[in-house]
Amino acid sequence: MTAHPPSSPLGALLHAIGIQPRTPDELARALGSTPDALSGMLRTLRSGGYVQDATPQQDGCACGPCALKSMCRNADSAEPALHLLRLTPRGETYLRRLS
Amino acid sequence: MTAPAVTRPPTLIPDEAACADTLARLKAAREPRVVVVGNPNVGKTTLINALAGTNLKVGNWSGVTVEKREAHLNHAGRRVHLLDLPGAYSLSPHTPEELITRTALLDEAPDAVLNVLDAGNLERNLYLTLQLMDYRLPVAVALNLVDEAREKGVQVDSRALSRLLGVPVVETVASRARGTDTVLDSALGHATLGIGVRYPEAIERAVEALSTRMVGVDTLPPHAHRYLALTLLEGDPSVRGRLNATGHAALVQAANAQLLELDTQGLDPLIEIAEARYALAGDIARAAAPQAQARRTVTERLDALALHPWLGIPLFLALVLLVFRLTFTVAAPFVDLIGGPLQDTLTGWASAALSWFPLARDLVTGAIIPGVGTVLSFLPTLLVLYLAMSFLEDSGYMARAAFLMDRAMRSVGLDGRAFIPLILGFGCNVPAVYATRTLERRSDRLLVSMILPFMSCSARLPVYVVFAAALFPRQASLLVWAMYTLGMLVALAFAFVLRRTSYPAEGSGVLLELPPYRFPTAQVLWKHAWRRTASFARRARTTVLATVAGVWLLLAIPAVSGASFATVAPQDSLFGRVSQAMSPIFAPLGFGTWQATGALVPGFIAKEVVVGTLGQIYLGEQAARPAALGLVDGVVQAGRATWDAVVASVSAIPTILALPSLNADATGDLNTPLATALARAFTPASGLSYLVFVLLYTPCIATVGALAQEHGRRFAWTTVAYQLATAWVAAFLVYLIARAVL
Ligand SMILES: Nc1nc2c(ncn2[C@@H]2O[C@H](COP(=O)(O)OP(=O)(O)OP(=O)(O)O)[C@@H](O)[C@H]2O)c(=O)[nH]1
Ligand SMILES: [Mg+2]
Repeated sequence: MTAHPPSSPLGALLHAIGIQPRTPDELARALGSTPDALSGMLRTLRSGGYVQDATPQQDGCACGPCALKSMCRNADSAEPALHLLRLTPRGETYLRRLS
Repeated sequence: MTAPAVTRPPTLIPDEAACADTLARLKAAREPRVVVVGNPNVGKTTLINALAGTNLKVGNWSGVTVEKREAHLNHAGRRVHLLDLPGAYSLSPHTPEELITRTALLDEAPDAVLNVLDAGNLERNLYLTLQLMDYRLPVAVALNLVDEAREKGVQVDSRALSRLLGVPVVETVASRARGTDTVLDSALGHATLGIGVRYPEAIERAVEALSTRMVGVDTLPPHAHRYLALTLLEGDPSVRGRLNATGHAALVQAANAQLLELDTQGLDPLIEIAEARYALAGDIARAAAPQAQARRTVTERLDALALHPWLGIPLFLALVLLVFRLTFTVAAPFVDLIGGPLQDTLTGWASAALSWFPLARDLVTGAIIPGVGTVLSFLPTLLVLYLAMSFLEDSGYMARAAFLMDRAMRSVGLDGRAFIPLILGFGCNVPAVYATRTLERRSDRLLVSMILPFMSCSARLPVYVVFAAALFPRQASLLVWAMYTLGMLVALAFAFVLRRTSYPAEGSGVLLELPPYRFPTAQVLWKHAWRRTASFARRARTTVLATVAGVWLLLAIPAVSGASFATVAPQDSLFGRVSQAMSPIFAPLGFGTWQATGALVPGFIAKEVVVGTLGQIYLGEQAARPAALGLVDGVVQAGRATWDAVVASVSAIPTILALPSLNADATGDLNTPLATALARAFTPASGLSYLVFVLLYTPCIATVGALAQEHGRRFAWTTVAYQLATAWVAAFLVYLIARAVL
């Protein structure tokens, strides 16, 4: 990873996702922004094929009775409430070129 | 969003002649058409309804308007067409609604664009604004929702915004028709070409080249040239399809050539174009609403404390301590009630009813009632504990606790995901073992399964409660809290050691979306707590009942000659003799009696059975020849005791928060016969060591089964062995220290 995060908005966002897959909330915290402000950028990046959902592992987990299920990105609910994002090769290429 | 930009992003300033020209045309239009564009749910339709007195459909969610709608009104002697369009985040269409909006801008030949913005969300909204300005159309901005923004602490300087964008900006509260009259004047009399985003030089050149090709083609309106060129470079398939279908395939070819050229220069126009827009949008938003971040939400302020790097964990531990204090205070009178008077009543009734069947009477009054009854007497404790825990969960705090755990976990080199099974372990170790499946690496699964049984499951709580009450009535909740904390510390210590020695660490992300804090409703709390308490009660009916009956049988079988079944003294029974034989192992820990040892063995089946068996051993004898009790007497006796318990519980509530007496609560006073018996049988030091042993040795046979199923029998038995060893050593150390100190 680059030592200095890029100063361009999308570059900084891709950089943060590149460090580790994260949810929009976590990204907002990491970048000192708000999920609202980031939502548009994430949409752009996702539709442009720079980031994608990092789908959690599907093989069965004993989430049934778990009280933390709603917040857990591993929960085996049909529709994941969370979107964990990670870079696609296209996103990685762009990030590499920035540094 | 990142470090403040040192240099302003470059912009295109439209030339004055072009502005004057568009304005003149707008003013000359006989029946001007104004399109209303903006992000979803910003109040576009509300604004139109307020202007035109129409009744178009509005709603507080995105996507209310899904097709274009028109409203008409008269303004300054002209008939004005207002076009309501579906909400769009951008004009690179990702949704059918965005496509409708984009198509309308291309085809409707609007005389002006009224861009409605959410003042509380400027940065995101401005992206669309800047994209709109790639169309060379006159634009006016309605800065709507200023009331909500102000509530959020966001104050937008509309004059600065107007200066920065180069178009008129009017503040509005559409829902209360505030500012709406000025909006039309502004859109029809002052709308103009705003600033444009200046894209990287190579892209600007490509745009220029493509726009030149569009000049004079009457199916491609001049106001859209720049926008179309950019869209072609972005690779937007719907625009390409449209151009191909309308006889402009050559244009698409030219765009492809430009793209190839840009690619050889290492440029990716799609993201470069978006970067430039976001950079400018962010810059303008920061300049126009400088104190946008000024007021933090309640959740943010609470999180600053809850997630504080140093205070977070102490706060968590303090909250847990408070939970235990509450649990003790409120539940103790009811535990007394069930463990004392109600059991007496039942015993009395049972011995009356079964007086002709001495063996059955022995089983019921000497084993089942004291054994199962003792376990059930902790139902109030668990119910209150679960209520408090549900409160922490549903309020959103538990997610923060997990977040803190995650941090602690990674500091000892564990996969962050490990906190899920570990937190589950506080409820019950069995599902927690299965939850280790969520860990990706086998080594993580094994490691977490090994340390997981140290997390104090709720079945262990009754043991702590009764010992704490018997031996440390003044510090009961503190002691219970210390047991939970000790379990966590031992687990983390093992993780640390095993990780350092056998498995390398791997960084993995935080796993949580932190929900906003909210006050949970009573119904939801009750539902959650009740479900868990009921499952504890179910275990009392099944596992505990069966074990108690088994122990009774073993206690009834004589191990010395001359005694007969069911009349043998307990210490001479099979159970007593075997326990006695094992007790020297525990003598160094301070509790080498056959009773204490004996209770640990059935504890393998389930930890709450430890108190059940203790109840059976210490109380069974005295209950074996109970006085029979009449039905009415029993009801009266039980009713009076219940009333006393309610009064005691309610009147004790104020003492929960009686700080600073953190370690001096008068709340642990349990007066059950079992507590009294234990106070005689144990010293504080040996009681403490007993609790530590119970905390750390194999949780229960079901957990061992789950371990075997997940990781194989060898692993399961290894875990059992090392936990027994850990429990012995830790209890020994605690005993030594406690004896010296207490
Ligand atoms: N507090 C406040 N509420 C507003 C304001 N303007 C609109 N609303 C409310 O915001 C909600 C959305 O309004 P709409 O007019 O349906 O929004 P829209 O932009 O047409 O939404 P879509 O058609 O879905 O894109 C409604 O509940 C309005 O009552 C305002 O200035 N202040
Ligand atoms: Mg609408």
